[in-house]
Amino acid sequence: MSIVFVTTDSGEELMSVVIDTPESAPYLKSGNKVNVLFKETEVAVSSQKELNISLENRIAGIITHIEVGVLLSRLMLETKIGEVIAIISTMSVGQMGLVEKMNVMIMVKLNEIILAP
Amino acid sequence: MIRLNLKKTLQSAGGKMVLDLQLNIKKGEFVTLFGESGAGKTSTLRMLSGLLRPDSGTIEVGEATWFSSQENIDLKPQQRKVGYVFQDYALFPNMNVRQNLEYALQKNQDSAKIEELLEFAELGELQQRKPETLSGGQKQRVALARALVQRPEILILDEPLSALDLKMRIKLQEYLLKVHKKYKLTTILVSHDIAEIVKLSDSVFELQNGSVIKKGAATDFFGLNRTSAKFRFSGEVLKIQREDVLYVISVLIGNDIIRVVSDPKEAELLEIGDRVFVASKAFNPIIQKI
Amino acid sequence: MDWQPLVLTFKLAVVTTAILFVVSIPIANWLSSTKSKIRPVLETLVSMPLVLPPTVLGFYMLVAFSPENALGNWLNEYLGIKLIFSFGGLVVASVIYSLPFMVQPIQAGLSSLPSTLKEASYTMGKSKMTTLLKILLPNIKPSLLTGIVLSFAHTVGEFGVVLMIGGNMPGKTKVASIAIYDEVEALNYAAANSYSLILFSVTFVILLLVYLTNGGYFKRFAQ
Repeated sequence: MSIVFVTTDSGEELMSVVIDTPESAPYLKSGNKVNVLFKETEVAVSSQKELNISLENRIAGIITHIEVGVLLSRLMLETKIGEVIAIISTMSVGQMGLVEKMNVMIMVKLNEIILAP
Repeated sequence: MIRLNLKKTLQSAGGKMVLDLQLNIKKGEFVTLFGESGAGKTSTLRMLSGLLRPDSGTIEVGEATWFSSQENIDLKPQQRKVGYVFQDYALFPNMNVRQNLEYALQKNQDSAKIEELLEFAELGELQQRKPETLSGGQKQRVALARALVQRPEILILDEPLSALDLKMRIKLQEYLLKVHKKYKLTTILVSHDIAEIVKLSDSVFELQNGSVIKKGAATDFFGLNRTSAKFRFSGEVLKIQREDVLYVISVLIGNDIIRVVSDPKEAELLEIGDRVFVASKAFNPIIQKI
Repeated sequence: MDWQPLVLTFKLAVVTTAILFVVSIPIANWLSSTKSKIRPVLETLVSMPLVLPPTVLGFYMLVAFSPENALGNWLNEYLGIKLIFSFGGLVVASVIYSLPFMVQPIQAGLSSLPSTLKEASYTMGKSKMTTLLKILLPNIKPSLLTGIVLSFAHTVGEFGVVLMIGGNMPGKTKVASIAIYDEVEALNYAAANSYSLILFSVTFVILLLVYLTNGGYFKRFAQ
């Protein structure tokens, strides 16, 4: 198992835990380019900047569009790493008072980040 | 180990083509020849089984030489005894299912083999039927069972499932895998279906214009291994359904239907019948003893 | 009415057809599977009797089998066979004359079978002979029937070749078609009519049988 640090083109730092090691997967090498994937449903959204919480990957973003469903809502966010979509419960959208143009933090736990060489 | 070193000038629809290839296949492997039509896949199989004579080269199987242009060795197809399943099944129309199998018995061979194969291929109830009354999948099973009667070490499958519908194809794929393992065969398949290839074969050789242009382990071959996601399967999209702000995609993997949530952006790119690859990190699935 | 010419006609037809059946299968099998360059030549030779006037064929056979020539002399000297003006000669001439009527349907039948049938059999370790007898021939029964019936009917109807090589010897070479000619020459129209009617009916029934069993196969073949 390894924890991999990835710097995005925009300079953000992301962390991922993978089962592979540099021995089992030759692409795990400093300086190698990888693509980073994560599922929309695994993205958490916070309206507070600093949170004491074990979500390692945090990126600031602005909500550009909200599609409110009965149970779930789909947030489109503009971040330094590009457009990110977050699927969260409609309940949370209401409780947190999320609206378009709001500044938020998006967070992804490190075991949810998939690396593709 | 099967070692092929073949040269042959072939007349194809697009004119002359020179087949020139080297192939090494390990004993007990399930190997797929992949490539466009006219790339020389079927010709390669025919040369291995002795139905087509190479212009020059060698065919070595284990310790034996089946063909050598230099030493003037050319075993007849009768002497090579390769189990060959033809694309058109080649069932003998004048014989019923049982007689088709019995015809393949070798001199002094125990006919218990027929019973075993009829049972294994679930052909017991069809044994008195003539080939023309069988469905495509049934014909395929007869052709496969018949190829196994003489206990070949090498089984050749020339696009055996291409004419069948998806459900039948998936069932027969399972069956091919069982056959391969049970009879400890070296199996050589020609197929265009990537999901089928990944599911069945250990390694893949890609042919183009009569030469091997790429080879590798089946999972690496099509780039499916190129993410760190460890929980991955390939399957076919059965249903795309909108649910709230998302889509739920039903995917057939093996005999199971699984469902995956997808963002509209991704779902838009999918159509029913598409081959897809479903993956998740090894950290996510839960595991429980049944 | 003298039945002898009719008996002789059908005896000749049966013997000729039997010989043709045995001879034509290997020829048709070879023609349908070979890639040899001499195949067109052989195919042409086999088909020649279809277009050649029977008298031409009969004339050359008469010359060849004549004891004054090498072949006829050799046959006569060493084997004691005299083919001219004998029933044996009729059979040889008929076999050659009706050859395409047996070879072509069988060849067409064999060619229509997918080559994978043969190949599947070979990969199971079966010899060419076994494959021919157990796989190929049983799957072209309509073609075999067509060949048999056409050869039979064609032999029944031949005239020119028979007259050239066999002459007109009652009980030996005088077949029904020649008998008809004889009777007409003798202005004996009633007898000619009897022979003709019988030949007409028999041939009609035979061909009808082919059409009924093969659904127009003859049409395809005779195009």
